[in-house]
Amino acid sequence: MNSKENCWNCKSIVKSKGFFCDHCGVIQKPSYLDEFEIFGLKKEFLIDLNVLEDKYLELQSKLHPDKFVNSSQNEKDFSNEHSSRINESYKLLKNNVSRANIILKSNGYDLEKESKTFGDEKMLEDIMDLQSKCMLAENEISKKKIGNEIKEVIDETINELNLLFKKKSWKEAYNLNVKLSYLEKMKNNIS
Amino acid sequence: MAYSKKLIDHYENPKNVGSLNKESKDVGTGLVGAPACGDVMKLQIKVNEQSGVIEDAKFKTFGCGSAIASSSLITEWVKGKKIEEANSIKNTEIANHLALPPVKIHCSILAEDAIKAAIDDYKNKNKK
Repeated sequence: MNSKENCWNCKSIVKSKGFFCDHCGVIQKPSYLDEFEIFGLKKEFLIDLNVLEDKYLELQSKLHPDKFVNSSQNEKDFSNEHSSRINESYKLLKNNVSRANIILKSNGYDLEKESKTFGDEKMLEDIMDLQSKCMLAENEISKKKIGNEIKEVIDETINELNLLFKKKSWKEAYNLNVKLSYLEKMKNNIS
Repeated sequence: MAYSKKLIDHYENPKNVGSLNKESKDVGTGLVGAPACGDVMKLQIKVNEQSGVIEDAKFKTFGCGSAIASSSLITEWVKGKKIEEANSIKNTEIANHLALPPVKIHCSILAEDAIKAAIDDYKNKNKK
């Protein structure tokens, strides 16, 4: 385990979760960080997307493979790993549903793996109503109207979801996130 | 990915689209969803109270072609069957008939769950 905390280049002790060695400044082998940790964010449902983007750009400006074209193979490999993991995590955190999923997954509720049928009737009825409206919207004006209605429901759902996360009501948050995933898909389909 | 002719037929010309009166005592409604892919399926059956035979079936599905074809097919299959027979239809029969690709198997599971939910609803309404 000692080797993990030593810089592979200069052998001095490094912070276990740092990207670079404090001593010689060389890029370090990626250690496992969850999506929030990568960007130094608290594991919360509502995050400041501007902070996320700034941090993303800052990290990529230091760790992107373009910065390592003349470096050793080790450094190239590490940069590749860091960079793709940063991209992937950025994408997941930017989206409300997948960000909620990361938190839910770490508490035992995994939406992606949940291929099983979902039967919250009240919720599915609401979703079906909205979907019917989407189907019936033929011109731009009615599409815009239903699009706005969906956006309003999405905002309400996000607020409600945030409260459930604060209360650590994982099961309820999981169910509401299912609703949010339906709504987001609908929004994308109509716009 | 190539879809089978049967699947495309059901998708392009779905049978039994529509709805029955949810409040009616001889109608059972099943409403199910698959969170991972965003499909919602509503399946309804009208049962003859004397014979226990399903006289009519309707569906409304929002989802991919496979989900629509699976619900169309199962409504065709259950018509004229007794509820017990309809309850024993397996998703694998639907998947095989439509030659669903592996990533679309869950659509047939959804259809099986929907018919089971509809039958449960009918039974609950007609207890005693």
